[in-house]
Amino acid sequence: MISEKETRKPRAPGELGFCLALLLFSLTALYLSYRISGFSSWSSAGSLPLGASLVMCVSSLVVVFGELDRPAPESAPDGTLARRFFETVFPARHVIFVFALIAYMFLLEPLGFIASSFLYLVAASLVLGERRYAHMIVLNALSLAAVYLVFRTAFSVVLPEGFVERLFR
Amino acid sequence: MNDILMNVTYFGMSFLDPYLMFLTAAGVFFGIYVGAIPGLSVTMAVSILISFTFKWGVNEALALIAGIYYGGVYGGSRSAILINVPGAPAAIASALDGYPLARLGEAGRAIGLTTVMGVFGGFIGVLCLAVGAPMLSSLALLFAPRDFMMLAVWGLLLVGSLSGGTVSKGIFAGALGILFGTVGLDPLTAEPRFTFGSVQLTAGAPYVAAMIGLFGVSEVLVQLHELSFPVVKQRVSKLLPSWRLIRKYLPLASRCSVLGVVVGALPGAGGDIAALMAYDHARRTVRNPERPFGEGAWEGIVAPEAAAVGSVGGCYIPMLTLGIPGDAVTAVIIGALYIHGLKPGPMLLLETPHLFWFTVGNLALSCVWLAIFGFMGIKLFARIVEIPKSSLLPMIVVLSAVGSYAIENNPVHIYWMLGFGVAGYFLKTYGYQVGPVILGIILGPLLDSNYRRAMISASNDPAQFVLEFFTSPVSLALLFLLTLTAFRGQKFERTEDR
Repeated sequence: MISEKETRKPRAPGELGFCLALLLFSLTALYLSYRISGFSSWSSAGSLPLGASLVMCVSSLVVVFGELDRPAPESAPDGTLARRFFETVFPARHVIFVFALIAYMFLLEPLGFIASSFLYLVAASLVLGERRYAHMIVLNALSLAAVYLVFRTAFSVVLPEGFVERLFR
Repeated sequence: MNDILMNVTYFGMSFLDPYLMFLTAAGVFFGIYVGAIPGLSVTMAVSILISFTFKWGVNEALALIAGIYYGGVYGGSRSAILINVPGAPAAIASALDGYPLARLGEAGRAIGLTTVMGVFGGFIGVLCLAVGAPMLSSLALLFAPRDFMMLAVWGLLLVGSLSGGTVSKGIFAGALGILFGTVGLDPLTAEPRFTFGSVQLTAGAPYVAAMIGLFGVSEVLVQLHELSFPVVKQRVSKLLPSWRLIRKYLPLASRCSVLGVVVGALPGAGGDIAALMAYDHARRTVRNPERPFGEGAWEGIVAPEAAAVGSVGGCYIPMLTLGIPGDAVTAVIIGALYIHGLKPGPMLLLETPHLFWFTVGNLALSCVWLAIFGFMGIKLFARIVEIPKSSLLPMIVVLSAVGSYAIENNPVHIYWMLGFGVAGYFLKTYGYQVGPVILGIILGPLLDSNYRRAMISASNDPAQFVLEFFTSPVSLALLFLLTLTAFRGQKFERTEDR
């Protein structure tokens, strides 16, 4: 006989862990909210944060119990749940893409907007499987030039300057 | 008689002066692209432009700003429909059904319909500004803090119907947004809240970076799963919606335009809240949409667009008559009026009625330009979705990074953007919607300050606080509306469950 729990859609890999992390975050928020002004008054600076974090705690508890009521996710045939997580939820492409973005953030000021953005665009396009190299370089260079002109000239946004910008000065 | 003639002359001034016509047209055109580019806000564009208009006449400055305002509020829906990244907060609701329509290859007709309904909403807004400004402003004067608090709670009640999935996940997301909204110095006592000793956090949560991260970067990460999906060719050649389609949705657009005007006229509540409320109104009242809401319902783009553009006229009402900004853009416009030696408030209408009628006429002209530019350049813009995702997605990230950097020319905002982006990706993956988080961030400060003011006026006595809701007709009416919304929301959830 199949139980009601088994008929439900199984959890996604890492879903329960994420919901537990949100519960922990909510509890931390509740503690930090209490530290603002305690229960000193109904209109204290901490009253709304306390209320909001309390609502977060209760709702995330409800979510966690709801998740526990669903079947566990299937593991990879030859591996663990962690492997299944990196196969379906956060695959290698996502990891590399996010790391490329982190590198872009750190290179933005030392290299300047044009050089760092161009490097990022080319790297990210390659990660995403673009193999028409000439097409990719021309398209990225043109779009980057348009973005730079619109932001720098029309909207007067001060973008980080590097050696490329200095060449055109 | 002379006064009426003078007012009519000032109303028609923008239509007769070629320079003012040009400035309004340039503003609308520029505004549409500012609104459509994720990360660029109308507030930012207007703030930058104000520095250019210092030496201009007040009419010229107001003409350009009004054009940008209308264009920007409308333009946000273009990127919402085409790439699921709302260009402006007012377009958050438009993305919910606009993007599914684009995925069905209906981007052209969707943009055409939003243009028609947006322009319609804009004209309703202008009409309401001209006719109802004195009435609505006197009503808004009667609002007590508890009424503003109820308004914020009313907005938050939408969380349930916007969450799309589990109600508890929707409530969590809304509360999370409120918590982010309280980061920074407390507006009443200047006590630091969640600042962790950081000077930068005292100014509050980086709202724009959060919006870009939650809507831009997280969507890019979600799209990485769909790289192999064939690109849907958009039918942008068929821009003009059929008369049958327009006639069918005109009653809904009329209701939502009026809703937009009323919400826009309430200080602090702008096009974003108006659009979300209108979307919720459509979800609750439309019985048999052609497609379900969230899967490409035409009603899901008609309602928010008519309300968002309609709210612009509404936002001008408290600004011109009370000197209170309806939203962030009108707050900046108030600054522009001060720069030009004018003092917005009740005396403005008495001392300089010509300025009021010039503004009404200029807003009407902006709607005319919106109708013209709304149907132009869409083919070029729609080609964005036909660019391979391997090139498009990194470019969206660069645009988002520039938008975040432009807030304060500070790379820290890019870090925030990335943090919110990755968090948003996991939230979306595990069934939490990011819309309620943004709604919570927008409404958090409004709820915070007004709840506490109301509690202080009740001498911190919870019983007295509750009793005060029954002491004024305005509070009673709002309480009735609030209860009705909550009750109908529950009924709606039960129907959905079945």
